[in-house]
Amino acid sequence: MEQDSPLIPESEDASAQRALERLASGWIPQDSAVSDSGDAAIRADLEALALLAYELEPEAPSEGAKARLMAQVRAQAENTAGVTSISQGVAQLDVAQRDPADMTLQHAAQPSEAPVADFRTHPLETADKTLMMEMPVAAGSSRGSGRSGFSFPTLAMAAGLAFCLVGLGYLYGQVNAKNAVIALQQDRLESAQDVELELERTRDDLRRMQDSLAMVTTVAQTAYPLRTAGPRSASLGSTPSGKVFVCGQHQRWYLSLSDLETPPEGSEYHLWFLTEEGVVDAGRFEVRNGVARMQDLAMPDGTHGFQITVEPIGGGEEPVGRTIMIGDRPVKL
Amino acid sequence: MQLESQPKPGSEDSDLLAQIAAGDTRALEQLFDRYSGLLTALARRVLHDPSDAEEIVQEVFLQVWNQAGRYDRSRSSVSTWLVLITRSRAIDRLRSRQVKDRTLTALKQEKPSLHTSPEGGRNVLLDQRRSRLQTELAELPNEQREVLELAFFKGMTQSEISGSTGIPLGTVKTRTLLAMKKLRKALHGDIQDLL
Repeated sequence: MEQDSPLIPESEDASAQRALERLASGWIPQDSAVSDSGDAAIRADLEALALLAYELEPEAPSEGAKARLMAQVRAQAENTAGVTSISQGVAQLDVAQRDPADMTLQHAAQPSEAPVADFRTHPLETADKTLMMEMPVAAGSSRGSGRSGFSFPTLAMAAGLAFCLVGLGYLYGQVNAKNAVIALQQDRLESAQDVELELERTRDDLRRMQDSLAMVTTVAQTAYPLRTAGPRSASLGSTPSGKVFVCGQHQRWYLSLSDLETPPEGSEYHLWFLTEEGVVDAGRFEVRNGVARMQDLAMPDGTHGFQITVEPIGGGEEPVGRTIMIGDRPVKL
Repeated sequence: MQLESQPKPGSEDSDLLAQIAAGDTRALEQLFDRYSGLLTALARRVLHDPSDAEEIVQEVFLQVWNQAGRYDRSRSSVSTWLVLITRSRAIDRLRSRQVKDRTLTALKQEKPSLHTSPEGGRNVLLDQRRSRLQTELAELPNEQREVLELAFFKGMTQSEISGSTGIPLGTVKTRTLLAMKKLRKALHGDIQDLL
């Protein structure tokens, strides 16, 4: 679905502010998707912030850190493989459970096949084979004993084997149950992470809406009417008008301009704070159909006015272009 | 799971992550060699405790191993992903009471580190980036640099910075945003490379 473009384009400061808020909340990039038009700028700011880590001289981790990491990684891989082996082992047990006597005879026919005691890779499979090999086989004598053709010791062994198989089956069931619990917990964890992402996104939206709402509902205590700045502005070709509203806490401000022409090619409009320490860039703004809107959450202490200049694209820390409007005579509202 | 394929020397970070997602441990080793120095330094800067820092870096790379498939290059560069995961984990650790106590002791005992990067002089790109950043940060006024570092390395909000330094909130915001603006401009090339 196409996103609505924001009514008021965010300034660079606003995106920087949001990047700082995300940083303060411990946000990491996989936490939420790029969800609005401001996120590209926020991403650029987060990339800039992350570059701060490069200020530090790298420190080699202690000897063996890498080996420990890789050992953990391999252990994880082997655990995964181990679970697979258990499944395979139990599949063989299933076969054995169906006809244990056949399995016994099968092993008796291959006496040279030694059991491999590698429980790490195939624990159940190996256990199964070991049990089979340790069973005394009475293939020759079985014909003369009882209705079934097996001697008592053979039957006892078969019963023991069946008991072991039942035990192993129980263990397999336990492993399966634990795997199911782990899978369930992982699902829950992922769901919780999704909810957390959504919550963070909603918080972002809420903050943005609160900022916009505060701008509308807070009674602006002061307005700075902007007047065209002398003869140099004559080349504008129109007579723009506008005001900067400053809200109570002196942290929020809102620029509203009308009848302003688009800037000449290769240039852009910049708003500047006039402070006791000099001029501070408030950011660039765009004109759409003669109208410009801009707002932000911060302004330097000691701001006593505003001015608008036409700057080469990209701007700078100091205004170098011509001043077209100025507002340094506040009016109490 | 593929365990033995050989990543190409000098592979791009995102290529390495793709290989890691496919189960390639050698790619993880290569990423570790490339970034463990930076991430250890970052974790140590936050925690002031070498052993905690090392644990964090181990956890980060294990997370990378387990979640490489979740990395999305449209959201951040790999280096930013790693840096922000490390920072986030380190700050979480910092906020736990036990580590805070140890941090106070470690701060008193901490000496300058003589370690070098695991990839040393071979990691030319990262070294160049570091050199540029150090130059640009040196250009920032101290008060702007201070607020930015408190936000990044200590995980403080602007209100917390204001509370801990006694600087008015408005001034903290202004200084932070001015610092960000200068940083963004000075590191424009690096940021574009990462986007």
